[in-house]
Amino acid sequence: MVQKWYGWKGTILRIKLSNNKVVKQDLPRNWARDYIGCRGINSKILYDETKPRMDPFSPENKLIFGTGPLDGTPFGMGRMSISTKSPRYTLAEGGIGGFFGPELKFAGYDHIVIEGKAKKPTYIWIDDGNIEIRDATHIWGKTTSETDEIIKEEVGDQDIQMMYIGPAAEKLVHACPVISGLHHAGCRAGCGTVMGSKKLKAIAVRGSGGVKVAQPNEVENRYKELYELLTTPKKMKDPWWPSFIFLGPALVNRVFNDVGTAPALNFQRMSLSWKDADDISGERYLEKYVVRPQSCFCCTCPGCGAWFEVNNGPCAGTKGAFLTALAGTLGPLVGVTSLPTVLTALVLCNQLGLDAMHVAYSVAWAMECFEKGIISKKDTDGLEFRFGNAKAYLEMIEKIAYRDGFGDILANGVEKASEIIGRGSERYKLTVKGQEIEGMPERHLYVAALGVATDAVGPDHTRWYPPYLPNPAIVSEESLRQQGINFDPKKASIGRLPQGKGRFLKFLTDRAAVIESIPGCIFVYTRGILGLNIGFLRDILVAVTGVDITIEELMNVGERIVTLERAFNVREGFRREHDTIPRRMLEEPVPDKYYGPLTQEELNLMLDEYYASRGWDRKTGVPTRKKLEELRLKKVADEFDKIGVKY
Amino acid sequence: MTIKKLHIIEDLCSGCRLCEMACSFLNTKEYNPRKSRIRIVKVEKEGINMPIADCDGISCAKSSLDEIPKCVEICPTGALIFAGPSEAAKMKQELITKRALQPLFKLIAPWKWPYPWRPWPFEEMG
Repeated sequence: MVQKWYGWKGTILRIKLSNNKVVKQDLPRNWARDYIGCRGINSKILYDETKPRMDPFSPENKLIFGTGPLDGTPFGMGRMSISTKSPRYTLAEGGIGGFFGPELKFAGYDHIVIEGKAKKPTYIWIDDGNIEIRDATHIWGKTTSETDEIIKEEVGDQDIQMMYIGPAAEKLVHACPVISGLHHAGCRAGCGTVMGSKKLKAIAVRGSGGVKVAQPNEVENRYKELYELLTTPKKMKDPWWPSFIFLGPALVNRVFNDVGTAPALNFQRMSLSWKDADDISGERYLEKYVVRPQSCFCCTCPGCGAWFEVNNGPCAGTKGAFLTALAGTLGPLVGVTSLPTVLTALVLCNQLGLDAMHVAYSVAWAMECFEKGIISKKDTDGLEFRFGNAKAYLEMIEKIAYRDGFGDILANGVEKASEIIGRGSERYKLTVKGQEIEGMPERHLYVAALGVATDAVGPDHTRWYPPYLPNPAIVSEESLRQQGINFDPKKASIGRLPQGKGRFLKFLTDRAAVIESIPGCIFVYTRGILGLNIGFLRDILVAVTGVDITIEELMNVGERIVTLERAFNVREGFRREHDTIPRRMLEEPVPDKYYGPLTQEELNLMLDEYYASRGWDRKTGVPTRKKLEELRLKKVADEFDKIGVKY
Repeated sequence: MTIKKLHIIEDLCSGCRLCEMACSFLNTKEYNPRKSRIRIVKVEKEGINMPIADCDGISCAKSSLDEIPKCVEICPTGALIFAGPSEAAKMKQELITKRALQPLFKLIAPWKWPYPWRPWPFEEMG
């Protein structure tokens, strides 16, 4: 008898663009147990079905959209994961919120695997069981909002959900995300770029099914409990939570400035003046520009993605949603401290399908080079490229998207751009594994530096967020032990102490892998009492899917996923020497606040501990055979032997 | 006797679709927005979310313990209210007057989460 699926839908959809073939494959049950779903199964499929050293833009590369068992239920909050091999040859994986994931579940699929390469621009229309691959020549080159409008018109339904790319990804600009529902962007590691290389403009989906759960009464009680936690700050026991509900991640702008971790002027400074900090703060944003609440699927935070409008000044007419923490990056990093400009830049990035971090760091890097005299007006098409020049900044965003003039150089990402320009400009690039870093305080919170250095994707804070722990006294010691916390949580939370950070990061990354595979929102399930209580998540998973799994097994799944992703990178040739942070953090002290740099010795110490706690080889950072076999990844170890990976 | 019924304040809806989920789960024990009696219509370009209810909430309220419909109970921002006509009018007035004083009420109804939500005892914060 075929066992019924609860939570999962049990179907993987494979779409071969080269010959317009669609195959439906059953989801293997042991995958569901070993990798759960979403990010986990995505990584599994990607590792198994791609070959080492393959060209990321070749038809053999796969683009995988994954949902998990909790998607389509209120617990999942609409999160899903997109994976591929990035143009930088690393793994590319990123989460995305919104409404696409649940709709895909309602249509009856867990994963979509895009294979091959289309001959002409196409888009995919999934209407429950009917899948059409349609011509998209007339949409090619259009912005995301135009694409949204045209496809909805063609399909004749305004309530469908879509994933699309903007014109930037069509031109294979470095690190493009996939955009969903106009305001959600996912996987800044380059999934959009790969989607563009496959000539796939959009995926539209409509589903009329539902998601069945194993124990309806238990699920109802669990949700009541979760809802109570989320809507009662007192019960959540996280000091950030109340402000997070209303300001969303933009709350950090002022706080970061107060503690000296607000990156400004390409990380030359780490704080702003009080007035500038006020201008860019989440409070000002809420007071002046926010109009109404907006959120992802079934999320109780009305402020995280609030709808904003700018009504006067030079940027009047700008409207959009989901500012997130980008205000701190898009603005001060390039010396701009006016919120309307930041909001306009964000909307422009979403329209063109650009990654906001890539844009901000490229422009900031170019501005520093301009001020230091490395590049001149001749290079920048006559633009006065100084910090704070908002006009040149906004102009450059469009130039990057359409690869026009100087934008063509910046469109390659900071790492490649500095290679092209040369003349000592490499000194000012802020990249790890070819990807621009984020607004994380590497020199203040060493665990953040270690996370940035070691992650398989490159710098991506969502893969180990947050860099602090709540007071461990709120859960029992037994529970801490079950979750694999074998370090002193208090000591680990001290910012500039290298000891204990390796084991701390192991816990954070394992936990994030579990949460993103189930999936849940990383910004919700890591907060306060929820963050130190994987048991709660486990209970939800059991109630929804009916699969019995212990907390230890769940943490083991997290470790398996992280190790498999590492193995993917190892196969591509990434080793310990690639696990580093930008030179600026290693050599220059923090201005104003009198912190020294994070030295190479300290980083080495942390890396040693991290590799040891993970069971990876200390010299190379390659997972050892013993560890791989322990995690039931023997096939990976065999493949390592076959292709001659040295430990 | 005033008859309470479901009222909608469109301005406060965050478009999270929790009400759809709760309604369909109540009736069918599965999460399926097509089987819900309330649905949210979205205009993403303008950021507008409009809940449209094919229901007045009365029968649902009668069957529940607290005598409020499931969707009203679960709405995180207070866009759905269950009240008599004069009470509903008063609530809408309260929202508009308080909004002018405190920008927080652009995002949430004053009656949903008691303001001030801060401070709470520091020791309990963890």
